[in-house]
Amino acid sequence: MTKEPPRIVFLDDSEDLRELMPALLEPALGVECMCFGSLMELENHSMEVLRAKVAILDVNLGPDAPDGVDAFNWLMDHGFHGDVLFFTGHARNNPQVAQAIRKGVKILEKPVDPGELTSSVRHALDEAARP
Amino acid sequence: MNDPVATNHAGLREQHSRRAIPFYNVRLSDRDAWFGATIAVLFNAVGMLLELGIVRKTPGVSAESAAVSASVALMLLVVLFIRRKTPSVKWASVIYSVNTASVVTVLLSTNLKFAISGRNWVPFQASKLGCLIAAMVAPEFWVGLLSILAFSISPLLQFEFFFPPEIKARVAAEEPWPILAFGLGGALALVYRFRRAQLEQEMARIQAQKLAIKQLADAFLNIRDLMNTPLQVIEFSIDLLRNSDGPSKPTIDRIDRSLQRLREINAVLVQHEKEIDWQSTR
Repeated sequence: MTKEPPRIVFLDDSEDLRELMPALLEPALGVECMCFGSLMELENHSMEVLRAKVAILDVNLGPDAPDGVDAFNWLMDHGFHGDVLFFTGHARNNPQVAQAIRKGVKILEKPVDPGELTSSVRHALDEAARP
Repeated sequence: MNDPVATNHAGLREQHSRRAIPFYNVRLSDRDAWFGATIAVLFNAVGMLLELGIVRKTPGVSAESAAVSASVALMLLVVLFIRRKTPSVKWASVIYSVNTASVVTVLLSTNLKFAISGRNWVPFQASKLGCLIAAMVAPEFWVGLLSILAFSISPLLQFEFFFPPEIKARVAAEEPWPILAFGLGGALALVYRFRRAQLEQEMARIQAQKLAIKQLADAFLNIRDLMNTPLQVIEFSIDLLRNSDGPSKPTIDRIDRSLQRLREINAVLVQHEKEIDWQSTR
């Protein structure tokens, strides 16, 4: 029986980034990357999402839509045990981002270098693998 | 070469000193000034009607001047009422000054007669009241100060130069100090009132500025977020292209879409830039 690759959840309202992220991370890290465009999509796949090792969340998910902080809260409320990274175009002093930082979430500021992204996700996977 | 940051700071300091209006030049709102003038005129009208009642019981004092002043007040009230929809500080000051002149004239014309009569008269009480009312309702600082001076100096001069010595000794041995004290008190109250108005206006200006800066900061944050996503797409796409054997159409299409998105954002910014009133920011 083959071992399942670690799963990564990526939440972003940009369709292009949802297409690019698996193309970058899957070959580099040997992971399975599941992409969603909204919190609702995430909730609809809760079983798979909550088993993921790492969640990468965009903060701004479009006007009037629940944002990445809402997604983070949903994950925490539903017993997500993986590591969470915020992937945002906002600065660290943005109120939403600052709120996330206070909760101990790591931030990746767009535009991030692909090497830095893979290294951060690798580190998050290592963290999540620790007992 | 000029240091642009230092130049900018000097400009800000200059702007700030230009904005900080001294309290004596603070301009009340048109409505506040109009309301103040209306109250002053009402004081005149009601006061002179009371004076008419008092005069009737005081032999030797004519009712004519009080009646004239009451009529002036009623006419001014009509003007204030008719123009209430288009109030202005300038016209409020004019009306207020006419009203003050009317009251001061009545008081000057009756003070001596009341003093001689010795009935129904406390020395310069109406003038003292005038000093305090002027401090409370004057539509402009300088108009208020002139009004206080008129209320305090005119009875003082009248007392010193036109009151016979025996009357002076009989009715107001302690004058002129009380009227001077009321004049000073009125002037200080006037300073306090306009200083407070100055602080309120400064506070409102700072709050408006703070709100504008916050809106600008929010706009910058949103622009940054909007621009960083297409930049990220371009960066990831370039990385994929660099590590692939040849250009792939979907990747190039993504770069193209991102560039288009950046152009759209730029077009929005250009539109807003045109709307900025550069003159008002200088």
